[in-house]
Amino acid sequence: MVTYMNSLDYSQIINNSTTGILVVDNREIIYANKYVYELLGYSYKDLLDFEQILHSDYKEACKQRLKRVIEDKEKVEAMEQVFIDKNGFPIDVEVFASPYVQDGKVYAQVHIHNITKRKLYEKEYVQSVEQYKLISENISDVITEISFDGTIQYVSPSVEGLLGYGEDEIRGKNIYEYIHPDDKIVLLNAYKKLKKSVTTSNICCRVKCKDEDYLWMESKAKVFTRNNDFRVIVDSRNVTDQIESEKLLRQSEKLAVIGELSAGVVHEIKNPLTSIKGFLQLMQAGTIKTKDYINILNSEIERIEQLANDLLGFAKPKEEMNSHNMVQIIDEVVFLINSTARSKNIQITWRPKEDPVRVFGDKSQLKQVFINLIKNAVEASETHQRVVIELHTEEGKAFVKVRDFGCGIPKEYLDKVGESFFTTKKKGTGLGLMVSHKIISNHEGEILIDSIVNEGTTFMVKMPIAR
Amino acid sequence: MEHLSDELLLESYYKANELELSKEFIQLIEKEIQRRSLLHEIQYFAN
Repeated sequence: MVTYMNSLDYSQIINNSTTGILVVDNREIIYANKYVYELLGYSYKDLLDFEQILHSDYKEACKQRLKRVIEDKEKVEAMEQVFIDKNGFPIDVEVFASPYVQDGKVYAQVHIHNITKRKLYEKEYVQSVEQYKLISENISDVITEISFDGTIQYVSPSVEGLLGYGEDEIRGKNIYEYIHPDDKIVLLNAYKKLKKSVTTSNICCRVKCKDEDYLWMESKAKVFTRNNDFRVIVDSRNVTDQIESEKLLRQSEKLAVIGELSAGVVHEIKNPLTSIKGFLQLMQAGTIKTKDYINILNSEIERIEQLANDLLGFAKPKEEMNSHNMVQIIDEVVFLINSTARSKNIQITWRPKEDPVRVFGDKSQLKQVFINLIKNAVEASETHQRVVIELHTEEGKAFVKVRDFGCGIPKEYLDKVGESFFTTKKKGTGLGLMVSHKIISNHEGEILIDSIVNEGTTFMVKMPIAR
Repeated sequence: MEHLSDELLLESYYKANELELSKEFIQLIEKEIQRRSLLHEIQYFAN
């Protein structure tokens, strides 16, 4: 309960108040509390002149407002004005006034708030908004904030320059709408990882532009919490050119390999051709029964056909992600390389399993990797040595080991294997293994190397088995 | 060549020699004969 005491010294209370209070009649200030003096830097003895403390820009407005208060007895709303202190420096204030009547005479009671700090914050705020806008509109990366269900909460304006969408078009939509159908699985896997307490994840996927084209984007995703809500902040950049040049490199490396293989392949074609030609001549001479020889001609032709198909299928870039049988891939690669190996008298030992081992990926690319690895092994081998290929599965992973018994790789070079232009071969470019590493890591696998000098080298490809 | 019976293989060998077909073809047949351990069958001929 509050008891009102008439005996309170209100003038003292007002004088001590931490807002400024002025009482003004038409022309001049007849009272100012201590706060006003302090705010404007005057001493208590100084005379306050309304004309002097008010910034010239506000004189007219102030006159109008005073008139409303004193003549119309109206309260006037708060207004931001500028006062001038004793030293001539401007001070931002917020002012409102109400009529005050004493002995029948009307005065204006003016309340003054110092808003210098607020003004400063406002200025800083505007500045930082502008700065943020400048950055977010001009960076080439796109920053996106996504909630865990995939809804886009925020996207930086740079999205327009890159993908052609306006910010508002995208906000509130689901991120999956913009991802290439084949790459949705990549995103899903990344999401699963992020949910499982991994805080950052890098992914590469195709994103749809407004004109229905797709761009390759590399994204770095990071988890954070906002208001107890899990959010993902994603920084994406356009890597289309990079991906395209990687593709070109892969293709030209592949063509180089085909060139190297072709000598062996031609040799492999020569034998069936010789045999076909010979038997045809025998038939022409009429000395043998044609019927007996049809089968052998067929099988020789099939042999040539398979070689041609294998080589063609490998050369053509198809770019199809599918489920493939690893056993078959290695079968075909061994068939292709056997010709080269045989000419060096090297035996490739490969006992295919009966059960298929399914992996998900691009068949031509995977073949490229195994051709590289097995060809390397053959090249590292001496005459009459063996190259052993093994396939086994363990805990959802497929392991392919390619082992040679050649000179091995010295320890100090092992780390460098797979870097571009690193090679120990006389005529090597060092690109084959680099491309292989890249392909396998795109397939979420890895290539491990184990080597002992003078005993041999084992390359192991580890890849997830497709479900 | 693997699909040919021993008999036909040897016959082809003799005929190819008779007709003086290419050396490469004859060598190819010889190789297969060797693989089947039938060299003794043609020894007198080869010599």
